[in-house]
Amino acid sequence: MERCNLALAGQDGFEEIDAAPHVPALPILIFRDGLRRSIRTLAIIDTGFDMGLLLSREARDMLMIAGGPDRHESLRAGAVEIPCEVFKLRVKILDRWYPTEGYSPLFPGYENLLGREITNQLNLCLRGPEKRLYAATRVEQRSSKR
Amino acid sequence: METAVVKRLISALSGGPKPINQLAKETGIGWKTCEKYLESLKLLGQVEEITTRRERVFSVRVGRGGWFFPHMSRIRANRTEWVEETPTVQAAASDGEV
Repeated sequence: MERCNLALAGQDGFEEIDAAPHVPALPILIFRDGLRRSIRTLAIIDTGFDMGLLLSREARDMLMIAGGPDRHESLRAGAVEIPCEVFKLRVKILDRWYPTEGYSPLFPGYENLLGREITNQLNLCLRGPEKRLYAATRVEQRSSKR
Repeated sequence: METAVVKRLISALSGGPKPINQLAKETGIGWKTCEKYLESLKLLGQVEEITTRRERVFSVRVGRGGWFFPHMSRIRANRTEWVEETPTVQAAASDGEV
C-alpha cells in the first residue's frame, strides 16, 4: 500500500471577515521585479478563482512603486466583467516562491485572493469545525526494503 | 471591458448624474457600448441607475460595491506591510514555473 509522503509544513487559523463566515487564509509574500522588498499580507483561499492572485488595493498601491501595471485584462464572473490591472509577480507561500500574475480590479474593496493557479500546487487540509488550516510539503520517501 | 473606457465613463460621471445620451457624447463611446458598460458597472456596484419617464440617468454609487461579489468582505486582522525578504536568484531558478 502506498504511504503518505506529506509532512506538515505550516498551520493557521481561519480569519474573521465582515458579515460572512470565517475564511481560510494564508500568509503570503508578494514580490515584483523592481522592488527592493516584498509585501507581507494575508490571502483568502478561493478555489472559485481561476487565476493566481487577486490583489487588494493596498497591495496594488505598494506594487505600483515599481511602475504601472504590465497589462490590462478583464476577469469574467458570470455575466459580469471586472476590469483589472495585471502585474507579473512572485508569491511566496511557506518556503517556496511561485511565479504568477496578480489581478487588481479597477475598483477598490477587494481582499487578496489565492486562486487555483496557485492552490492547485499546494497540499492543503481545511478543518472547518476547528477553524484550522494545515499546509503540507512532500518529503523524500525512504525505501522500505532493507 | 476596456479599462480606458471604464475610466472615461467614471470620470464623466464624477461631475454628477447623466443620461446615457450625454455620457456617450462626452466620452465619444457609442450609445450601445455605453449602455453595456453601464449595465456591467451597475452589477459591480459602481454606478446606480435612476429611471425617469424620458431617459435612464446614471450616477456614481456612493459607498461600497456590489451584491455580485460577497468576497469583497475584508479580513479584519489583515495588515499589508513591507518586509525585507526578496526571492533569491537561486530560489527563483529552482522553483518551477506556474
